[in-house]
Amino acid sequence: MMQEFNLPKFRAVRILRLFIYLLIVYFTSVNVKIFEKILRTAFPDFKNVIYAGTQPSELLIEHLKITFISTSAAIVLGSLLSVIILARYLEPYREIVIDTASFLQTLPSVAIIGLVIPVLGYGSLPVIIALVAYSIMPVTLNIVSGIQSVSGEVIEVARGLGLSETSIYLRIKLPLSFGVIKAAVKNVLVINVAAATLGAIVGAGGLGVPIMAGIHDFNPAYVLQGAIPQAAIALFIEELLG
Amino acid sequence: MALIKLENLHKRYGTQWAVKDVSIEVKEGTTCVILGPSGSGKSSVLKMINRLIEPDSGRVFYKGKDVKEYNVIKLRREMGYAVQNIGLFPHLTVEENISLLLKEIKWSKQKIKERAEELLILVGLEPKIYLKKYPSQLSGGEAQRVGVARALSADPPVLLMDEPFGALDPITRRKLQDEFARIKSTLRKTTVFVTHDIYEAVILADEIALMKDGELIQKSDPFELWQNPKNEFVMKFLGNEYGFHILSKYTLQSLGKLKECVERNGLPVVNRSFSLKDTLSLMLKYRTKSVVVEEPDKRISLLTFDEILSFVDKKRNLEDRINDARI
Ligand SMILES: Nc1ncnc2c1ncn2[C@@H]1O[C@H](COP(=O)(O)OP(=O)(O)O)[C@@H](O)[C@H]1O
Ligand SMILES: [Mg+2]
Repeated sequence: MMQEFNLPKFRAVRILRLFIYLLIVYFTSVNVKIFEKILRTAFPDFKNVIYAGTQPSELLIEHLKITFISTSAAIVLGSLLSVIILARYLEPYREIVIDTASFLQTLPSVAIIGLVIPVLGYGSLPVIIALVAYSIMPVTLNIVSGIQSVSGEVIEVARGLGLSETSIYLRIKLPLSFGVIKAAVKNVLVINVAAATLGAIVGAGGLGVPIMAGIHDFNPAYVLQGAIPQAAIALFIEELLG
Repeated sequence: MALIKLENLHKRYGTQWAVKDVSIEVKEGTTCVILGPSGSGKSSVLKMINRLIEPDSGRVFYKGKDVKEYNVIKLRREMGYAVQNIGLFPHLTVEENISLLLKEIKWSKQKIKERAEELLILVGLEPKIYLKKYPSQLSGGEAQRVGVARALSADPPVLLMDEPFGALDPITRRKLQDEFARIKSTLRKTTVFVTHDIYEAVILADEIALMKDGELIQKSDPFELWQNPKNEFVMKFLGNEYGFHILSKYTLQSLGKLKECVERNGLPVVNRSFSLKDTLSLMLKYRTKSVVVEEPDKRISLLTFDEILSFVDKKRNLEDRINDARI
């Protein structure tokens, strides 16, 4: 929405990088023949270098599913929450709410998973809930601070022109804080890509599975099989939304 | 009847009065300029009209009805609003800036597009070049023109302008002021215009409301303010140059019929569109007490310094008589 003055040269470099990250994901999680050969050369002592329990592509899909469902839910809930926090009649409590939210954010996601497993049992739902619970605060706080950063004078002019509060929110405040919100979404996505690894602990699958197995069997090849595509996905998001 | 009426407005921030007992009436179709040094409470008064701020006490009437009785959004849509520099929405193109309000009041796409083009032409910008530009791609002067166009978008009966040319360099500012004065006279909108620029006040105002420290010091037409300043502050604030500003507002058109003559006699030649100020300046430059006026019908007549003097004198007497009648 904001105009961007990217020079074509830089845009080409970005597209090239994005393409390379995608290729890495493809050759480490979808078509793993070459990857397997490399790992065999690197770790000749191991019988298995690709985790055999689940198809690599299935691990990838599980991982992406957990990441994107939890991030989308966090964005939707975070937007609603920020609207509530920014509501005019709640202004006196705004500081307290923001402080509480910042405090909650300091809880590690592992701890949250630990708290929800007894209640929700195993599977992907507890992981998703943990990730949402963990990422909803950064999303909310960034939307709030983004919108608060829109100059009061700009908003006053919009009011003076006779625009309704809804349209000021949708047409002025949100688009003007787009940059800050985009950065928040990016950070949360990157965090969730890594945090989704925890899914392996509670049987939700994902790229954490080979990592856990690798740690358990002392097999570094498994660990790499989980860690490399994860890093590539994180870099891809970073580049795409950066 | 006054279209806008401010009655005993007060506004305080902490212990300091921003506005103290200000009452102003603005007649339909006229322009009231609120003039005063920075921090004198001008913007505060203006924002009480469209309810961007509420007075602590006192009332504002629009069309005889307290503004509090209006739906605030509807009230604001009756009043175009233009402000200094930061006014444009940086993420929207010129066209989107102008059409934002029109979209909201459900004009058709076609009508909005036509209106945006018409407004850009009115403020002197070529639509083809400017419609798709972003505010960051505009010069200060161009941005202010767009700001004025946006204020006019829904053709509101009232214009509220808060130092719309305040952030411009002096040359661009003069140009825009003169152009706006011309546009304004064709639009005939009831206007409240805030400024600290004395020239701007003189050329735009039917009436000037001079403020200081939140108080209304004097309210009268620009000529009267020149001839009968109420106190030392008014005189000092307006300065000696004020007289020239006044004279620049009147063209030779306002002098009526002049004595015909046959020969130029080496005198400087002017025409009826010259201002009194420019005419005086020519007289001084050529060290003469008279100039030749080339009339529209190509005949020439003679204008002497005494005639300008008697114009001021007559106008002053007229003012006095009006004031006597007021009392
Ligand atoms: N929101 C505010 N909070 C505190 N003081 C204010 C506020 N708005 C205006 N003021 C003060 O009120 C006075 C008048 O301000 P303003 O109406 O903006 O003056 P002007 O437009 O003539 O420069 C100034 O002293 C200013 O500092
Ligand atoms: Mg001001």
